[in-house]
Parts: sequence; C-alpha cells; structure tokens
Amino acid sequence: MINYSLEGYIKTGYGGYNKLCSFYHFCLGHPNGTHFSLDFTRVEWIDGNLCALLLAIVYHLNKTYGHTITTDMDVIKERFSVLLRNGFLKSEDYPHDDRQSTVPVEYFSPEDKEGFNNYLQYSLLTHRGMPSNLTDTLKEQIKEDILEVFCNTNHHANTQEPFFVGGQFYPKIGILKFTMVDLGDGFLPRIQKATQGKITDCLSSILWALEGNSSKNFLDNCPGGLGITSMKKYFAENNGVLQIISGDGFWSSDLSGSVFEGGRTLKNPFLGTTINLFFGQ
Amino acid sequence: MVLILLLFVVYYVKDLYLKLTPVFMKVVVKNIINSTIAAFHNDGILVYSHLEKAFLNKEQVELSFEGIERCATQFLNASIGKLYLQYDPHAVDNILQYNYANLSNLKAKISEVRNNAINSKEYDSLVNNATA
Repeated sequence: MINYSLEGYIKTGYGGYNKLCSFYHFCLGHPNGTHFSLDFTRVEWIDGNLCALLLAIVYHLNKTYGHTITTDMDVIKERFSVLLRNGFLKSEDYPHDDRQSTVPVEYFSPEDKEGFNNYLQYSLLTHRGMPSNLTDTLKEQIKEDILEVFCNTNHHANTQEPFFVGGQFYPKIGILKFTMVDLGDGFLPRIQKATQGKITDCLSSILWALEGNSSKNFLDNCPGGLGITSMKKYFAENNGVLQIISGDGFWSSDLSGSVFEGGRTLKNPFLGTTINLFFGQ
Repeated sequence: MVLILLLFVVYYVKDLYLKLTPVFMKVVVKNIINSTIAAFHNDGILVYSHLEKAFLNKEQVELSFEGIERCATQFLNASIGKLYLQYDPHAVDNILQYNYANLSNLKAKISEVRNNAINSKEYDSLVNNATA
C-alpha cells in the first residue's frame, strides 16, 4: 500500500484544485491496481464541495487503472466529518447531515436528466444556504443555467462517464460553494473544431465560451445557449464567484482586476471540466 | 331532384372547404422524447425533424408541451431555434402555434430563442458579407 498525504488548506480555487490533482498524478505514476492510502492528518481544511472532484478522481483512477483508495476513518470522523455528512464517505455513525450545511455529493449518468433535475430542485435550490432574496425568475434562471451545464456534458463532452456534484454551505461567511465535474473532453477539442483551429489552448477555449460564443452555431447549425455567459452575469451581479477549469485552463471571476484576470494554466490538470459556483447571501 | 342537388352542393362545398383549410398537425413533445424533461440537444433535434416535416408540407402545427415539467433552452434551440435559423422566420411564424400547458415562462423563453436564432442568422449574414 502506498501512502499519500494531502496537506494544508484545500480550498475551492487554483491551489486546492492543484493539490487534489497532484494526488491524481501521483497515482498515475504507479502500476495499475495499486492500493493507496489517502492521509488527511496534515490537512488543515478541505472544502466539502471539492468532494465532487475527489470522487471523480477516485472513480476515474479505479475504473481506468484499477487503483483502490482508502483512508483512515478515525481521522475523518474526528476532524473532517463533513466528508461523511455530505455522503462522500459512508458510515453508519453519520446517517445524515444534522447541520444541514452540505449539498449531497452525488453522481448522475449523463442521460439522467430527470435525476439531475430533481437534485437541483430538492437538494440545491431549496438548501438553506442559497441566497434568500432570489426571485422565482432568478431561481428559474439558475436552475436553467446549471441544467445547461449538465446537458452540455451529454451533448459536447463525448463521454458516458458520470457527472459529479456536491456543495457546502458556510453560514459564518454566508457562502454556498457548489462543484460540478465531468470526465469528458473538456472545452478545447470542440471549440478548436468550431473555430477551425484558431483556438489552440484550453484557457483560450474557456475565454472564447465566456465571450458568449457557442460551438453549436458552427458545428450543429443550431443557435447556441447562453448558459456560461448567463452564469457569469448572475455571479457578477450577486456577490458570487464563477470558476471554470477545463484541461489545463483555470479561470475565476474573482481574479478580475488581478494579474490573473485572463486565467491561469494548471501544472497538473485533471480530465474534463470542473465548474465551481459560489453563491453569496 | 332537390335532394340530389343538395347532396351535390354539400359534396363540392366540403371538397372546397378541405382544400382551403390547411392540414393541422399536433406535435406532442412528451410523446416524442418519452420524458417529462425536455432538456437535451438530441431531444430537440427529434422534435425539430417533426416540425421541419410539417413546415415543408405547409402544414399548420401545434407544438404541445402538455405533460412537460421542465423545458431547457438547449432543447428549444435545437427544436424551434434551428427551424428559425434554417427557414424564413415569417413562414415559420405562419405555421407554428404553441400549447404552453403549465409552463408559466415558456412563452417568454420561446420568444427569446426565436429572436436569438434570427439575430444569429443576421449576424452570420453580416460576417459572411464582410468577409466575402
């Protein structure tokens, strides 16, 4: 068994994503069928919503490489019970989230629009951490935009692998963080094709989509949706954050005005696309 | 004699009426996609093929959303938006009617999809002219 220690603060952003993906790349460097122990003792903090990404990593490592990953449940129960309360890990001692701070970590087949629609309706939009001032129209818009992300996995991502989701509410700071992960092709291949090779890197493909472009106009002879630009607008106007990670491209709305306004490049990318949403109260 | 004349008139009036009245077709989304959630691009393409067939046959169509719980823009773009993109918008307007069922904001959403498709077509045309 090979031990791997996660360390420090694993927050939703460039640093946290790199830390979890470093574990992924560490595992890739070992023969198929290796057993890993994921050690949380040196972790100071982990955002519960990132369990959606961690679950996607564990799933992919197991399915593709036959790796198995275990962890010390005593450490989890003592210091990171959130990983039990949100359903990422199972234990009979933690049957439900008594603090009502988590949005369950789940995964859906890309075909399961009914299941995902119900999850949005009953687990996310009705969560106590969602902004209390949302009008019915805004709620509808958010649901529509998130559903479009899920539908894009079905249509664009060229994968039958599950779509992973999970969220965490932080009452003290009044923020609900929600993460969605797919294991598909990411933005670039389709956008590169749609732009006839003008877009050649992952970060540029994210920026191209954020500008309101859609590959559907070019490849499907069909009007494209406005999901990402609509989300960008919502989070800009409502004290929130939108993060998009696809391939080695990382873009976050809260980097606006910084040297990383145009995004960053990841050293250790994972597969597909990850979208993080921060809903501010 | 009067009866024969009456039957003759009825026969021809009926025939004339049928010729003047366009054929009316009802496209029920739920029956085509076998789901109450109209969301995927491919769902929309299935419905689009029915709408296009009716359009080319100059049939009047009622697109019915009875039994649909949720209708996403991606579906509407691939069904209705694509029809507006491919064909003359006024001609599409003339054949297409809707039954919005219980979806309160669907009318506004369809209007947005229609305008987006028309604008997209005009934009493409401008780009093509500019780059020709």
